[in-house]
Amino acid sequence: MQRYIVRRLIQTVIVILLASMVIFAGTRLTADPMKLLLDEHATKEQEEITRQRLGLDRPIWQQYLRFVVGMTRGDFGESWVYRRPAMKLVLERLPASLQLAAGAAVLSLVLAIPFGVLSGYARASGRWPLLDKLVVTFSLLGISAPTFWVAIFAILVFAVKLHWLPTSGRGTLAHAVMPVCILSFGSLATMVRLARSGTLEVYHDDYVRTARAKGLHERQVLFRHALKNVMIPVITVSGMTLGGMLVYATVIETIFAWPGMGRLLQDSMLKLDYPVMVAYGMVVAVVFSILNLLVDVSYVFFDPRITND
Amino acid sequence: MIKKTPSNPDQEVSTVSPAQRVELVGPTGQGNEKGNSSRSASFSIPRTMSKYQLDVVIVGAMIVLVLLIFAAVFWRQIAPHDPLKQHLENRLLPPMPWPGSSSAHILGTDTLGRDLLSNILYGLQMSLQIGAMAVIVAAIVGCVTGLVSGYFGGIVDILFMRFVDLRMAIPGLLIAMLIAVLWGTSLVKMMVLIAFISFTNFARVIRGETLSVCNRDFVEAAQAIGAKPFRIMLRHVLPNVASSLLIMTVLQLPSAILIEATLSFLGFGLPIEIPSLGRLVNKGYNVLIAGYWWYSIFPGLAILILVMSVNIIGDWLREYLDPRLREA
Repeated sequence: MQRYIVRRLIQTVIVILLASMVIFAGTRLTADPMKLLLDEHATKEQEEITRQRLGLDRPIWQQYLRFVVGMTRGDFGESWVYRRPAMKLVLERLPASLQLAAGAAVLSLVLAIPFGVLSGYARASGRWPLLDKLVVTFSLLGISAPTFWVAIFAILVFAVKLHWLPTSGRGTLAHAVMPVCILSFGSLATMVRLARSGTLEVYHDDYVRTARAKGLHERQVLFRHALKNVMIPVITVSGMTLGGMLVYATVIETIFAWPGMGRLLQDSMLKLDYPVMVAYGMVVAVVFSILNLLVDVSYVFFDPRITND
Repeated sequence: MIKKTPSNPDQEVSTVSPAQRVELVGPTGQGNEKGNSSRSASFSIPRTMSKYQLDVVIVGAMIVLVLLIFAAVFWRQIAPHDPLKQHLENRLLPPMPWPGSSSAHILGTDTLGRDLLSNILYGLQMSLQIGAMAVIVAAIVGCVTGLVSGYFGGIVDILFMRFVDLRMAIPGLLIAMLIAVLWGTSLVKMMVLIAFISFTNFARVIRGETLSVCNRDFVEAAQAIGAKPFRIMLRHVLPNVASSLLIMTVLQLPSAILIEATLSFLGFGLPIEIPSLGRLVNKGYNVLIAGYWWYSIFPGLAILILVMSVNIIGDWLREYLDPRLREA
């Protein structure tokens, strides 16, 4: 197990290095940052000075080396817009985004598993047809509706018409209700569907029948025996989904004026603030890799036939 | 060691296909036996409930989709107004039954007096065109990659799959945003960009299917009589992965449409002169709080209906074409 984790960590580092190369090449080769940094009246000397200050006058491989060396020290250069270290800017906003993503992740996992399993059970056993229909309809809406539109619709209903919740901003718990719920909507729907189809699939398997034949209560059959196999695809996708949430938070943060790093990203992208974009990409890549590692490690817990060696 | 687990990273439509799920079950190959075990145990499902039958919802979704495609193709004939023509005296007219509305503008008008319905039809055409083209390109590239990777194995497989892993190490929307910003956008670039985001899903599934098909006797027989790899892939493997390819294609279309809409909403989408449903929602959002709700709600509703009908059909297709799921 330890060896496996070490090997995965090494793989992760390689992936992040490769990703950094791609991002570096993307940011340096596609456009001349000079054009963005200087206005058209800048003199040749001013351009030269800025070039030297940012190290853009050296050969490209030296720039990449500097970039990688800086990266290992957490130095991603200075934001061209804010004139502050890019990584610091991103990390300052990380807690707000993590709050959203973690809230949404917990909400979707907590709701998806019982509702998915019960709905699959309802389908397979023919009981509670209404529950199954409701869950299926809801999850279909969840995977089909554009996140940004759901957010706007929710603002219209709950803030503009009903005045129950504030339209945007961050501060009280009431501010977080809509962003968290809407961010979790899509992944909740995805996980419900997986849990449902997983339950349907294992419902007639021998081990589930055995559990039932032993006289176990249906609740135990479902949530102790069936659930373990159902969980494998659910956790696989949840790892991806939770990482994706950090990025989808961009949409939510933009709409709800939530001061997270997604909003910073959108802002810096519109202003072509490359260092911030790179720093953000690295943070997301690291979070994503850690989540994937956790997912792979947790398989063993749910299915002892899988070994990580 | 677990196989690198396949799954769809773009969570907006991440329905894991049955082919993926077989791989997910793990190295025991238990997924393949599932069909048999559940057949012997089908004691409680009434046959009439089998869900692959056409029901009202699926027929409804098909009709809606056909209508939407029709509307998108013939938007020029259907649209009541020129979508770009401004009538400042008709600014922000509400939709039909609301007081102050005009029968000439069924869904109302925008901040510059342009007809919203005509704009939605125009945007719908773009959404469908980009989504469909992107998914077709992704299906072709992903299928070739998956076939070659699965059939030849070895270094080709490792290289291709590492690339796929690398692409999946970063969420799709982030890559899409980065490429859109760095590369700029146009109609063709947008298609290529979305195709790039989703081809890895095809490659993974098709590779997995190819691996299992290649173990079957008829492939070995074809190899034994000296058939060339290209011929085997085309004649023997491809027909056996075709149903998965079809299911994937339909199920990837919604996520392609949603990515385009999301990019446009965030301001990284198509150039300003090309209409887009996502940008309509964004512009409408600016006047939402002031009470002009229709401007952002209707274009989004159009995306929702389009994506939902494709999802319903995709789900049905998957259940219909995959015998493993039909048993359930």
